[in-house]
Amino acid sequence: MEEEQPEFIQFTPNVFSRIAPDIYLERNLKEGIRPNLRKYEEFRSVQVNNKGFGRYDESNPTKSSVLGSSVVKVGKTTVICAITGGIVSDDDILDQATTSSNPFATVYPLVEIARGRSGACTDEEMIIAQKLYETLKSSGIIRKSALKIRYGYKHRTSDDKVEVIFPRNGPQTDGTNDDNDQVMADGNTAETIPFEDKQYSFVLYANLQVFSRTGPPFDICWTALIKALKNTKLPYTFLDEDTTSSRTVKSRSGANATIERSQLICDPVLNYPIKLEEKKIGYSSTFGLVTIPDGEKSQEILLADIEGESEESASTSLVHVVVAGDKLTSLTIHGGSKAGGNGSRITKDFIKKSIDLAHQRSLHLSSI
Amino acid sequence: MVLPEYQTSLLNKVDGSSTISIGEVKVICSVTGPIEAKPRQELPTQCAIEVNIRPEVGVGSTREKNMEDKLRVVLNGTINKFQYPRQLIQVHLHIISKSQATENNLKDLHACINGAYLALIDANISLLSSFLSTYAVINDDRLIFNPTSEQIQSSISHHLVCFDIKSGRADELLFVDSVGEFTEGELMTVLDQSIEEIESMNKIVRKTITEKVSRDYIWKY
Amino acid sequence: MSTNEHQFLLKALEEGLRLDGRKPMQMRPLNIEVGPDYGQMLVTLGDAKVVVRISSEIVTPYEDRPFEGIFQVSSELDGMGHPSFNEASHRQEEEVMLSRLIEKAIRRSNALDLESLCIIAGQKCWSVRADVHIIDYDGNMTDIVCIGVIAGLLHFKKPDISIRNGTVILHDMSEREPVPLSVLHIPICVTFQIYSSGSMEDNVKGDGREFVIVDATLKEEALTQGTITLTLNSNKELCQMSKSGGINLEVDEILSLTNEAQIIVDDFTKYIKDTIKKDEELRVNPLQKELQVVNSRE
Repeated sequence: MEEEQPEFIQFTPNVFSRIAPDIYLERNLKEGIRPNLRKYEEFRSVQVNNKGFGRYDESNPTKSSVLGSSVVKVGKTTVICAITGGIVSDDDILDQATTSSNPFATVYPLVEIARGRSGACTDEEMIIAQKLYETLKSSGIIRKSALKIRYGYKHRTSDDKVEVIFPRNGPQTDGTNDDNDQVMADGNTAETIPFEDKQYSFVLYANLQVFSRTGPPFDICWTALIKALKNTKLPYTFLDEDTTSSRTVKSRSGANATIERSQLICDPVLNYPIKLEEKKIGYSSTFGLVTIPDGEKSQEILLADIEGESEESASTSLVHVVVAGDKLTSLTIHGGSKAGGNGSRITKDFIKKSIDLAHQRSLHLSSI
Repeated sequence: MVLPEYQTSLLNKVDGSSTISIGEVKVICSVTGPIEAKPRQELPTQCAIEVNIRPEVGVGSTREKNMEDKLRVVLNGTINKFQYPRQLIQVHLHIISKSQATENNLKDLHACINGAYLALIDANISLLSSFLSTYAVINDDRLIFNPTSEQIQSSISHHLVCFDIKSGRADELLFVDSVGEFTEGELMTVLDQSIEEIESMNKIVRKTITEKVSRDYIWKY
Repeated sequence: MSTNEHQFLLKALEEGLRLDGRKPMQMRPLNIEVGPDYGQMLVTLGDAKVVVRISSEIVTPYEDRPFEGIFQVSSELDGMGHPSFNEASHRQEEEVMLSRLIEKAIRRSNALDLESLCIIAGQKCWSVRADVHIIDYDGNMTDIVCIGVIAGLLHFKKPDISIRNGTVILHDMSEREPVPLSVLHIPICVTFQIYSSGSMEDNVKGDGREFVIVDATLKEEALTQGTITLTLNSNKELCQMSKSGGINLEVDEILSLTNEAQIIVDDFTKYIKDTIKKDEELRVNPLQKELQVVNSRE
């Protein structure tokens, strides 16, 4: 009987990569090149724009609440990061997590990945935000003391002039607390001012917007966050006696209580850069591991800076590394070769190789 | 070596359950499956895996979401997903008491991974291999497995390592999560030592599992 | 459930027989396992299990209630308790009913003295939170959750504080003995399921005979035709009563149920107090535990 010749179906690369990402990637890699036309160990080019839209930017002084900002472009993906801040009274925080011996602070990130529609945040956004939060905390880039506030005091002098007095050593604490030596804004020493011994700290929030996501966006988000923190400037703050309010309330049993509310005011012009632990600053890289069958044997290929649907879904084994100087601050390996059927066995050689590449990448990123 | 305390089959309405205590950390885990998947979860050739982690206090936040993601990586690599096409395996974990060290949540995750393993066995879910995890810290140039919360707080780096186990040998690296400040050499030492730790842990866990299975097997003569 | 099983169960209940061999007015055995931390326990009622965790933190009080602390109960059902709770719609209904009853039974009956949680009026107060997780769902959740929350509150201790120059200093548990909460009374819920031998019509006319059981299991609960929850304390006070729809019940019957409930409440109150006292003694003198173990071996 004559066998019917099966018809060939042809797909455009776009469709093919969707239907069978693993085969699509395999065919590409057999040619020695990745679907995005990069070499195996080649990273995407990076552009960082620090000239931002911050409150204290020289080019663009505004009254906005943005304290630091950055725009990072990697390949097709753009991440915009804006750092904003708030002030909390230290004795409001009495829970264990914040009073623990850990001397490092972190920021509270919010990640939004543009996907052409609105809705509740996705798991990926939450996971990236949490990862940024945890990585920043464990890397020790911001000390808690760098966010402590030494505030000034605004009052009326006897001749009814308003003046603001700031601490002599500037608003930043260096761990050693020498209170009660204040200096007037123009440099003259003032007589003792009744400084409240209430302690305040800044809390920082980071708002990250990811546009045109083409691969795992953690690396770009991390770079954007670090670059934004580097140009973050904190405002001088002072206590204004005019805005301090108090009111008395009566309980059912007849007792009186006075509730006092004082507000710290941020100076619109005076600012100082946030102190970061420069040595601990590192950058992140992500690698994928792909196995392609090669006759009897199979060949394993390490792909740097994975991008595109086929690379992302076909390489089930992922390595994320954050490198600072000659040390690593965070490393995550997602293994499991049986998972998608074509994931790869993670060997020590691959780990070593990816750490090496991450070092080089980190050096490059810190230079721009 | 500090052995975790564990117990299985304590819940009645789910297919498998376990509790595990490692130091002060205690986790309850339940597995239901294979059950019908919701339309958006359904995968044509394999089963979907749903992981839910509840914290000690309050409702789940991004911290738990991140832990769920990490646990899913381990389960994805070990559950025989092609055995249950278009179905769902649901893993619920409740952290009854969390680690006192607030530096990171690796100790909690360590308990979750091992608890999930025991609950999956209790639920008779087909697995491709056994798996166990270890948690180690580097403290004063010493590598300490199963650290106490004081040791965690004074440590420079923290490592959670999970291997799959075939024929009693730690075979393939499933998951690593390391934070802190460490070198490549230190990482390699952690990996080597973890293999030994996991293999000796497996001997004991396996013994109790064998006992459990023979006890559960009610049709024996 | 099949029609067969349905009819069988109802007929048995009518004859005063239950699947697990209990009498109609008999509760399942209650067991409270106290965890290593204060306010942490596993409560078991027959096959039903809940995990309770009481926690506290210092917060700013509500603007309109500067002299009061904050108390919140959050109870959650999920797929761990019963796979059917994966459906959000099914879960929500149960959750709302449960949280409303617990709110009425414990919060509105002033079981926890909120004014005692105030630290500095209008500025600082304690916020106490009860997290209840139903890990094994086998009917009668109201009673077991209520027992869990109240037992947790009785057992819980918050760290001691002192105030210096308007700042609150929190003392570590090892530094200063922690202080218990001020619990004013112990309300306990008892839920009855009502069944009718005849049709709905008979019941309304007063022809049918009603029969009532306490502490229903999941299966018994599925057949129920009416539910009534009574909350009492050991001072013989009724704190809360709720009967939401279902078949009608004679007034005399409710009175006799209250008496039945009082016996159960007294029994449970004693058990909760004894368990907490025993645990307290063990904490003071941990050696005792070892001695007990030795004794039990002899």
